[in-house]
Amino acid sequence: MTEILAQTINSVARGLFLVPMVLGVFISYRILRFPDVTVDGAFYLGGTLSAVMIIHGFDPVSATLFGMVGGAAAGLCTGILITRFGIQRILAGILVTMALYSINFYILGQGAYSFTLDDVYLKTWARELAMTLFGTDRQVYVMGTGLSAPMLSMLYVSLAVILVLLTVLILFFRTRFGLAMRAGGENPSAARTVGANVSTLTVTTLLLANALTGLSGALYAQDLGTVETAAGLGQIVVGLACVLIGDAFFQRRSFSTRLIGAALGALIYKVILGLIMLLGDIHAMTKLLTAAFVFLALMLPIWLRGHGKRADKSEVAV
Amino acid sequence: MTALELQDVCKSYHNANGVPMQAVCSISLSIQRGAFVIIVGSNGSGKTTLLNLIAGSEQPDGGRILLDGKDITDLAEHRRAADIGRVFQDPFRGTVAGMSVEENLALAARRGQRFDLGFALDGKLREEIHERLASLHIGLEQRLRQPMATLSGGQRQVVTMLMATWHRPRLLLLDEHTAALDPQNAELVLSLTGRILSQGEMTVIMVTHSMKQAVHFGERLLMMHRGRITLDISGTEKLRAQPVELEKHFEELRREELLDESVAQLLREQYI
Ligand SMILES: Nc1ncnc2c1ncn2[C@@H]1O[C@H](COP(=O)(O)OP(=O)(O)OP(=O)(O)O)[C@@H](O)[C@H]1O
Ligand SMILES: [Mg+2]
Repeated sequence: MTEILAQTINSVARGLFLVPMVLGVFISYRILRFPDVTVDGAFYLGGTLSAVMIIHGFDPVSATLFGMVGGAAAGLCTGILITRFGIQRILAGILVTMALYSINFYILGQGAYSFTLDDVYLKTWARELAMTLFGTDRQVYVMGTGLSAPMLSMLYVSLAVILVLLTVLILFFRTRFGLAMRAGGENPSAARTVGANVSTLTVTTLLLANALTGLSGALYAQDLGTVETAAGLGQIVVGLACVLIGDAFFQRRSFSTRLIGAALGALIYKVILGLIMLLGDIHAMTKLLTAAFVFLALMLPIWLRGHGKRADKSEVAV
Repeated sequence: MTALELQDVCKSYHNANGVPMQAVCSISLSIQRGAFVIIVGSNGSGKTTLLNLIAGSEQPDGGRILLDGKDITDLAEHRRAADIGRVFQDPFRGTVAGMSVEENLALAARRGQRFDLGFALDGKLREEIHERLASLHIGLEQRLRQPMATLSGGQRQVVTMLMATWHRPRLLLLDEHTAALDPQNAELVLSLTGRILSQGEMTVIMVTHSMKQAVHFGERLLMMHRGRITLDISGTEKLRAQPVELEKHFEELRREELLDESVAQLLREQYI
């Protein structure tokens, strides 16, 4: 029982790092209505950039912000490929992600495939924080469960950051610009008739979504202490899985509620995976499980509705 | 004063076989400020294309378009939106289904200005939205927070109409905006149209399939056929126009078309 609780809290702590990315995927998938593959590249780029910054002696916060800027740049590229050059949306994301793999090699130097951070990263910071919060950097006991103090203090900090992030995003989508962004994605022709520049809005949407992804990538890499080539692979599918979990609870609700739902989806996803992991180390299987889950999540509503008409099938992606 | 002027405007599309076909053929047209112009014409005669060219959702192959004397031919659609309001044939096209009624109207209230980081809806705007919707007496003011998707086609067209005219644009384009509605809803939207237009100066182009609407509304009537304007009547001539006469003119065009086709058929049989 305590094992389950410990694992759950651990998963939540990890899941919080994933939340920005899932919010990003929610934004691109729900507003622009296509799965933006750039997420894979932006996630990895965010990790690489923050790692390199830390190696060069910057503090974790600026390193993380830099990872976010990297993600934003990736989104900007995809956006420009789509709006200026008229490249198909999914292909644009694939192109940018592919290019980013080479760029990441270059940034890491010597064409390294993986890369380990020394001791100066988020965890060091978390340890210091644990000393101030709990007076120890080892175990603390919550309801009789031994938990790592740095992990717990990190959880508090990330929770606070995520709550701020969510609030900012919710408020943003109530501004005129945020509203125009939603309109531009859902109904470009209506948005244009009220005078919105849909191309700019599309680019901004992708930029925002991938900045959030870069943020997650940076946090994830620093938490793990390593960056590897495969880090970003399939992140878009993970993001979709979380978004779909969130929607299972909040489908017909307001945009803000669904945004919160996506964040919760990330945590639920991580907790479920963590609990499965207790049954045995099936780390290698997580991607298969996630892919299968996304397939099921997309198909179930259709199967439940009875055999949909052909026309319905093209809507699966949305 | 001329509000809208088209100079020799053309637009052609490639059909499925890659053969170009002229959707709009060298149309020159001048519309006075405050005029209410009706356009009728058979399916595929180029009415929507003409409105698309004016609104900027399509670029002409040739010719110029002037609004209040200013050349807008190369102006992007969203830059023209400040001056041009539009209601589409398809009730789903003019509003954002996933956004609430008030959010849609808040966007329209921003027409012609920047979409900045200010909150879209404040107390004052909400009040105004409520007031304008309540004045229509169809209960929409009760549904401000509901998504557009929950509204009927007629109600959506009402909201689109309100969005298009929130800031009285210089030019209002109505593309068969009642065609997709049942008679009752069509009547509702039409009476709203009449009410909004009676409130003052606005240049309006209304496309319709209904001969009744065509003779009832407007002071000038254009008939299009195969991308050209084949009839242009106004003043007393327009007042005297009867649905039957228009139908007759229509019939003639259609018969000519049939004749064209049978000649083509004949030629094909003889030479191929
Ligand atoms: N995007 C497009 N691509 C190819 N052909 C087009 C396109 N838009 C219009 N056309 C063609 O141009 C011609 C004129 O079409 P348009 O939609 O302007 O007609 P319309 O008068 O509005 O007809 P309706 O009364 O059916 O709405 C048609 O033959 C149509 O097939
Ligand atoms: Mg049409």
